[in-house]
Order: sequence, then structure tokens, then C-alpha cells
Amino acid sequence: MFDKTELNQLYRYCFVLADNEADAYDLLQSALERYLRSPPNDYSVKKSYMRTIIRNLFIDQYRSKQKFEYEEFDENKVTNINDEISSLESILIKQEEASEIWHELNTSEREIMYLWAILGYSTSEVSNYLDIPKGTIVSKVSRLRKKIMRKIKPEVKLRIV
Amino acid sequence: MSKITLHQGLQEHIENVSLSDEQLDELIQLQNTVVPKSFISTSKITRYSKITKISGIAATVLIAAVIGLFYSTQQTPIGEKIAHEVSKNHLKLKPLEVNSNKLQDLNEYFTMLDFKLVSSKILIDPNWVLLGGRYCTIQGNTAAQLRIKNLTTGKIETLYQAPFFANQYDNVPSIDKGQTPIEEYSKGMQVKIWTEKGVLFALTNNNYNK
Repeated sequence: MFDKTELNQLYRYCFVLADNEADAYDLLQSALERYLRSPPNDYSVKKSYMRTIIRNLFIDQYRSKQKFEYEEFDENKVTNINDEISSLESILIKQEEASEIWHELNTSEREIMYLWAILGYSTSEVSNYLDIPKGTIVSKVSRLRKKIMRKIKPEVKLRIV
Repeated sequence: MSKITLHQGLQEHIENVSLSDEQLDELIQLQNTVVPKSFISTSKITRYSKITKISGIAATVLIAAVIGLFYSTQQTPIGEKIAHEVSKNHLKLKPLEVNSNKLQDLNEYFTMLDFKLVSSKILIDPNWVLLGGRYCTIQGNTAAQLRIKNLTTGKIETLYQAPFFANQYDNVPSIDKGQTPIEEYSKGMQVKIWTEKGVLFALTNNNYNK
């Protein structure tokens, strides 16, 4: 059984993927029904098990519309080695810019940001969870950083840490 | 103006989203209606001998194979699937996301649909008025559910509009070709299903036998 706090946490993950509250609720409800029909053997992993169901359901629903595709990592493309996800820690924003940045992100970028900002995952953990190469994550973080820096006001500079 | 880290900003933004009390109650209730497998005591299982376990697995595989064979030959028709889905949705009467009696207003709201909402010949009776709508899914496709009310009888019904895919709904009758809607029955109500102007429609009817 999930309590209200856990249901809200899972709902936020649905919202990250679906990007609107109505679809997020439908996704959570469908995932919960599937979970209840076939719960995990080990209840200590129930939340990660539920997140996997949510993700699979979301991909099933949206794959046909090609709304959820990860780009393959191009080995020949030059990627900055410093573009580990933790490098985003140094970006400073105004509070109201968080919402503007969020709306600029696509589904896969939102999911990476969720895994980093809410679940506290490192680049390797994001790579393991999403089952995509670490290089792809680094590449996406690099593009994300550029996108975010374009969005926030020009006077905002990186904090030196 | 003070600055915060991107990490903190996104965290606050995501954590601002939460379920309403009504939605939470609905999900808690859903969890109470299904009996989880965990009610089977694990201590009992350990008492089984190895042979018993293997026999159990073999029997399960056999039953699953027979059930699989049965379902592969008796697939649920698409009309029944849609009727089941829409009747379930209709009974929940979830809050409307947009309130208007004009189709144009609704079309302006439903920007995430892959089609435009259209009026139907089936609902030409002026007693039926539009109340509003909300997003839903029909057979995994993003769709709109529109709530309508009959001014004479006070009846409230739901009209669903979903994208039409010929390969998915090849047996659904087309009003444009002079065919009549399928009538399915699910959860004590009638559901009419048809296609019109390139859109899949489903309409609930709670009082079909009155």
C-alpha cells in the first residue's frame, strides 16, 4: 500500500513524464492498477518497482507518437568531459526562472532533471536507471546546460566552486 | 534579487505539484479494492517440498498456456474494449478541466490532441447542451471526454472523441457512410460507438432501457 506522501511522490514522476496534470493522474492510476494486480515480491523496492511500471506504461502509450525517443550518443562528437550531471549544480537562477526552464525541456530532459534534482542520482545512476550509455547522458547534459544558459538572464554567470 | 541553485529551483518547482484530496482518496480506495498477492503467507510456502513446488510451477505453466491459447482465439472485440473503458471513465465523473458550451472554446483548450473536436449528427437534438470537457485516453490514445446535459430530462452523459486509426478501428461503423453505431453494454449502461468526420466517437447512455 502506498500512503498519501508516496502517492504524491509517484504522481510527480508521472507529471515529469506526461507534462500535464490530467495525463499524469491517468498514468498513475493505470500504473497503480497494474502494480496491484502484480505486486513485487520484495516490498522494500515498491517505489522503484512502481516507477518502472509508470515509465514502461508511458513509453507504451507515447512510443507510437514518437514523443519519447532518446538520441543515440555519437562517439565521434566532441563532448565536454566536465558535463557530468553534477556540473549543473553550479548554475544559479532566479526563483521564477525554474518554471520557465522547466517548460523549455522535452520529456527525456525532464526525466533526467527529475532523477538528478528529486532522487539525487549521479550521471552513472541516471545511466543505469534509464539503461542508456553514460556518454548519451553526458551529451544530453551538455545540451541541457546550453539550453538553460540561453534561457536564464545573461547576467547570470556560473558560480565558481 | 536573490538567486538559488538550479537544483533547488527545479526541486521546488516539481514538489509544488500534488494530487488533490479527491484524487488521493480515489487512489487509496483503489488500493483497498484489490487483494495483493502478499496475503499468501511466506512461511507456508517454505513448508512445501521441492517436488511440490516444481509440480506447482508446472501446473501454473500449463494453465497459463491453456488460458493463453483460449484468449489468442477469443480476442475481445474493439467495441467491447472501448465500451468498458468509457463506461468506467463516465462513472467516475472526474472534474472538468474546461467549462464551456462552445465547441470552439474547447478546441482552443485541447491543444494536445492530434485532431480537432467536431460536432456529431447523432446529437442534433437542441436539448443536449455542452458543459465542458477534460483530457482522457481511449485505447492508449490521448482523447477528449465532453460532458453533455439534456435540458429536458436533466440527464448527464459523456461523449468521447478520440483520434481515428483505420487499422485499430476497422470494424467501427462510419456515420458518413450511412452505417449505424455499434451498441455495447458495460457496467449497466449502453455505449454507442461510431466514427464520423475522421474522429472516433463513443457516447454513454445511462437510461437506455427507460
